[in-house]
Amino acid sequence: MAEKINIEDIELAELCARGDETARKELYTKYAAYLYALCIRYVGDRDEARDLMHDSIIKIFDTIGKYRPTGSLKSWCSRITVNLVIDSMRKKKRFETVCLDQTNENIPEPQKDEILKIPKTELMRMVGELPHTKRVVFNLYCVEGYSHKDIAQMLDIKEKTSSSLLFKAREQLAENVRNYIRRNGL
Amino acid sequence: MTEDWTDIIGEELEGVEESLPADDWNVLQQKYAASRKKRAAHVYAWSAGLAGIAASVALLLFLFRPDAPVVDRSLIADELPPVEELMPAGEPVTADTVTTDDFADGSAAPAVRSDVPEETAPSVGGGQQAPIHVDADDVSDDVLIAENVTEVETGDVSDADDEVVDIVKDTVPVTETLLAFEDLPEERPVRRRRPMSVGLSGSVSDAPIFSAMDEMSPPMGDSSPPDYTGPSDSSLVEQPKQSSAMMRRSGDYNESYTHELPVSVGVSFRLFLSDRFTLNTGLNYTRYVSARCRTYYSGGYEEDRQYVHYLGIPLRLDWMMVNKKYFNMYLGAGMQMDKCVYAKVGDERLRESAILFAVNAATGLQVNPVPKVGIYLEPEVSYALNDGTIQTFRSEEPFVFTVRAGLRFTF
Repeated sequence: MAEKINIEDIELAELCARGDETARKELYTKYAAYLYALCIRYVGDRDEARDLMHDSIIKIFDTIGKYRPTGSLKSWCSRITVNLVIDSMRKKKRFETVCLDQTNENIPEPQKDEILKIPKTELMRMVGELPHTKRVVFNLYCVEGYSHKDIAQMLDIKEKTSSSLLFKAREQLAENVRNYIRRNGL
Repeated sequence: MTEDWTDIIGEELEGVEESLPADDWNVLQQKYAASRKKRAAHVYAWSAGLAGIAASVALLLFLFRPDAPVVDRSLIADELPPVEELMPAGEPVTADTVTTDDFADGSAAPAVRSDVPEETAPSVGGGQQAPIHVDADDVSDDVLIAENVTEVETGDVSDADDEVVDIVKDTVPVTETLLAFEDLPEERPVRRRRPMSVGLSGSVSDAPIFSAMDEMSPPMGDSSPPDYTGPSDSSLVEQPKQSSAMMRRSGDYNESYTHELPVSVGVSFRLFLSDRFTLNTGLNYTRYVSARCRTYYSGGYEEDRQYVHYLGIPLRLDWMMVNKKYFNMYLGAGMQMDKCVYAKVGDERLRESAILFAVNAATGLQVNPVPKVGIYLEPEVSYALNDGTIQTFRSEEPFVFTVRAGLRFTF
């Protein structure tokens, strides 16, 4: 799907690149909440996510001169934030090797209409409960839309590992969704 | 194409926003200002380091250029009688009558006096001062022999010939004054070996500007919300080299470090570039010891000792402020490269490939109780320009104050 490129965003980026404080605050107002949610999705912890969001906005301020309007400013900011979060997790050695030999095939996959009944905050929580590596792969693949090849490069793992991790993440998420549906009678 | 249920979750989550605290913009501004300041400090530190290296290299090239004989002027100066004896008052030698060309290095050149009125040296042509000097061809290699100064070369100043000769006769008791130089030892270039020092030192570092490291070590690793009750990932297989401690890892954890003060020992080499400047290098070994604590959400607790060993090569240019027989005081600036040679935490071996750089400035006090042996104390401040992946005292605190003490042998 082609991204919508907003003229206002281009001007905003130019003003930010010139160091305009008002433009910077506008950019913050426009995207900070979204980037904060993105960071929470990846790291789980709100305080750590807030720190990472701040770091990413500082990086955005510093590098916004490199933004080219081939995609939306929002996507560009997301990419910077995702890269920063992954770097941070790599530094903290959060990416462990995962044993993939245990599978649970008894859990039925949730239906789409069931998913739509679940509040977004609950979905956020369920994704946040996934272990680090699975959570990151799930976010990169299902939310950000990266391919397994891209994910493999970003995380320095094999493509097969990426798809296996996604499979495990789906299993665990399906279980969480099923449990939620059962508990809440949806 | 039918959408997968995870795609639905992806779409649902894609646009989610989370509310931020009201003061978040102010917090961000403060962080941004601090980040810019830190970056500026990095730039200044790098610039200072590079300038220091450039200055050191330039100085070395200048001092060790192939056509730069080192003349021990003290040999000559010590044997020369005072200038006053050579040139008693009332018997002046004018600058116009004897040039110093034959004392090329200037060290043994007799003092010249210009107490002859300016009009005694008449102008030539467009008012140019007439070059009146003792013909260098008529004197021996380095020493003026008075007998040879019988003819004063005046070039083309024909009009001034008589007058100049009169002046010379009147004012220069040539035979008396210049004969004194006959007794001078022959001035010849003497190669002087540059002294060198070898030192043994030990040091300890701290970051007194800031709070104690124990208090400032931030928690690392995962810090999931307190109400986290997520499933423990029993399928995790940790690093290739496992230890029993690592096997106990059963999920997410909080990690924190407590660092001990780093201790260094080293051997140093000091090369005297001149009386005032020395170039210092050597080899330093530094040991960083930390305690790593992991608190697992599953209830486990783990504490491991971390040992990181670095070897470093310092390079520093020192300027001797005070250079006495029994006491030296100096200021220096330079940099140090450090490479991790071994690191482990618990039983797990850690890898660190980065070469770490730091710039530093030091002052030193050296007491020389006996000739050729000195005891020194060097307070030093250093700033780490980059950081590796292993958490150490250095990675927590880039500004470090070090006190180094040692012995220095000069030969």
